[in-house]
Amino acid sequence: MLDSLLLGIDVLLNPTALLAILAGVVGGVVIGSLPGLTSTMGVALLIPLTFSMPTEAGLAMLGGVYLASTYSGSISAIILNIPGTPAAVATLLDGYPMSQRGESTRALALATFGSSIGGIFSVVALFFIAPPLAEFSLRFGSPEYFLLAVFGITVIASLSAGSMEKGLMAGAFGLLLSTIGAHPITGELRYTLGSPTLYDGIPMVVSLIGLYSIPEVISMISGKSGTVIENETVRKRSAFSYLPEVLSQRLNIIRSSIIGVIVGIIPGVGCSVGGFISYDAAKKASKTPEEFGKGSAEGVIASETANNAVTGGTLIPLLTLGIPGNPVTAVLLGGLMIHGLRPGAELFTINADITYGFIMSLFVANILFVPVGLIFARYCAKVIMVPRQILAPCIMALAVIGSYSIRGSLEDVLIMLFIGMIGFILQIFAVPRAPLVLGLVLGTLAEGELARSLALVHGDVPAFLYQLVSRPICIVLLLLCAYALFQGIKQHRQNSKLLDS
Amino acid sequence: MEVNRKRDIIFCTLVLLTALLIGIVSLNYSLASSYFPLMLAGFMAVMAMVLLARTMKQNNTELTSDEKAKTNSHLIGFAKVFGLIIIYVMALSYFGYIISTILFLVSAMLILGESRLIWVSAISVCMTLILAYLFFEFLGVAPPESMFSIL
Repeated sequence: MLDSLLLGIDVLLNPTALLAILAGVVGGVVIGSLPGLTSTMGVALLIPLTFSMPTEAGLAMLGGVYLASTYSGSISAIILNIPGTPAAVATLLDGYPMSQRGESTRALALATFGSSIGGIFSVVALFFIAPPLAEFSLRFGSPEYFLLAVFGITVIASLSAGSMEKGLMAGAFGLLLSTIGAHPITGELRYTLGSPTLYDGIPMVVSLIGLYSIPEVISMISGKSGTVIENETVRKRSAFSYLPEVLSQRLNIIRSSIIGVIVGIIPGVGCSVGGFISYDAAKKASKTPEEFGKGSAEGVIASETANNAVTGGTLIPLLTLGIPGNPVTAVLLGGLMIHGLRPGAELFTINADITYGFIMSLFVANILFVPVGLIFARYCAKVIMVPRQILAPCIMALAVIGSYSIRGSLEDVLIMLFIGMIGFILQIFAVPRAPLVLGLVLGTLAEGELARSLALVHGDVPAFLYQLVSRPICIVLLLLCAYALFQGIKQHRQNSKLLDS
Repeated sequence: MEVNRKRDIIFCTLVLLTALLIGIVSLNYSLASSYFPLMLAGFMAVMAMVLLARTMKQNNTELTSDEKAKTNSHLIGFAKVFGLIIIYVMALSYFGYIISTILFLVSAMLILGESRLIWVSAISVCMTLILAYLFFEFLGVAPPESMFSIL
């Protein structure tokens, strides 16, 4: 192990590799903070740049982009209530209310330190426990994946502030929206209205931009939100002075990091789900759950720590088995192959210097995005002081160009507008939007794995149900689902009693 | 617990209608492709009826005149945003990115109440150029194709 560590450090002593990490981190922070530009897009766009670089430096740059863009999605989520990347959706639940209270610097600092710690934890996990955990994840079959998606959906129960029925309806509607396009098994096109743009379904980022930017702009125009003056006490404090606040929440950080790594290891689940599950767990464990959704520091730290812990987790099956856990790692896999590297045992033996160099560069990137992110965020935070009649049109233009840039299609802008209309309707009827996002994120996984599980037993429903109660991992997941639901309903009843009193 | 009965009844009706519509459209597809959305539509309908029943049992609170005014201003805001973006998208396919975005930003800022014309023009041009550089130059996204302009 020490040899591996030394191999990794040796790579980092090369100034080109350090410069590549810095370039990747700066690029990643900018890309992630712009709604419409995803980590996947950032990594994909920068792969050609790495052709002429030494392999170690090229991979270090791609790793830097991945980590930094996953973190920086929180910047626009906190400042504008628009998640820069899907990973930051859970962060805006508390980050934006905190920003509205005039504490944007505090929220940004908590998110930055939380992300960094979560990321470092996941790199350590990648270093030590990669091979055994990757093998365990291979035991997941379709029924397990289906139950994993159901477990993610149970989080809706505690995300539904106000009426639980409304939250459940929003979640179901999110799942329904995810069914637009080709069926994962039969390939039959559904609800596409004959438009080829909808054959692949609604792009996730386009939905997020619409769901959060349009209602936000409408609120600005109607005078409900807009110019916020930063709290004097918060403004005078340095961002680094919030580090002890983050470190004081040891349990929250450890729990969120573990959740993030586990979610990351399981292919197909993703950063946003890690953030939601961790947020839910933090809320259930909190002494002040009523603060969640109103600007709770615990909420911001939980979701940000987890979503960056997912990054290292996703690299575990990628490096050991060649299984990409999400679209970014799929692109990263392409990057590895372009540089002549094959995932698996070879990567940890013949190419150990490059692999451990890459792991160590991720460690450095997780530290480096703290100063880069905080400097960038300090200037971004000034945005909330811009008058709303200027800020609102700029957000609209960014939303339009951001949606267009995903597939280079103006029809995606119209989809964004349609989803924005749904977001506005939900806001008018006091329905939470987060369950809809969760439904959208997990819908494809839930439907695909359910269809696959049923196909494996030739459509025999009792046989499928028997599988769910007879496979060990399924039993554990069913118990987790029941526990999450029970806790969610209990918490919801307590909140309702509080509201009544 | 007190709820706004009228608002919740309208919401439940909308959900029931949506579930019904999805149910009807789903009948056009094979059962293998439609059982999942049908299950979800059924679930939404059941939840809407549960909420409806609960709403009827609870005390009603009427919206205050302040809240009504807020809802109205939200609807006007929605119409403005929707209209502006639709016109912007149409302009993009005719005049290209640069002209359309500058025109969109200038008109949106003026409509929303900003009266300093020099400020409006300067911010619009800067914002347009920053976005163009970031998306079309730095990240290499192809700009929208238009009839009368290159970019």
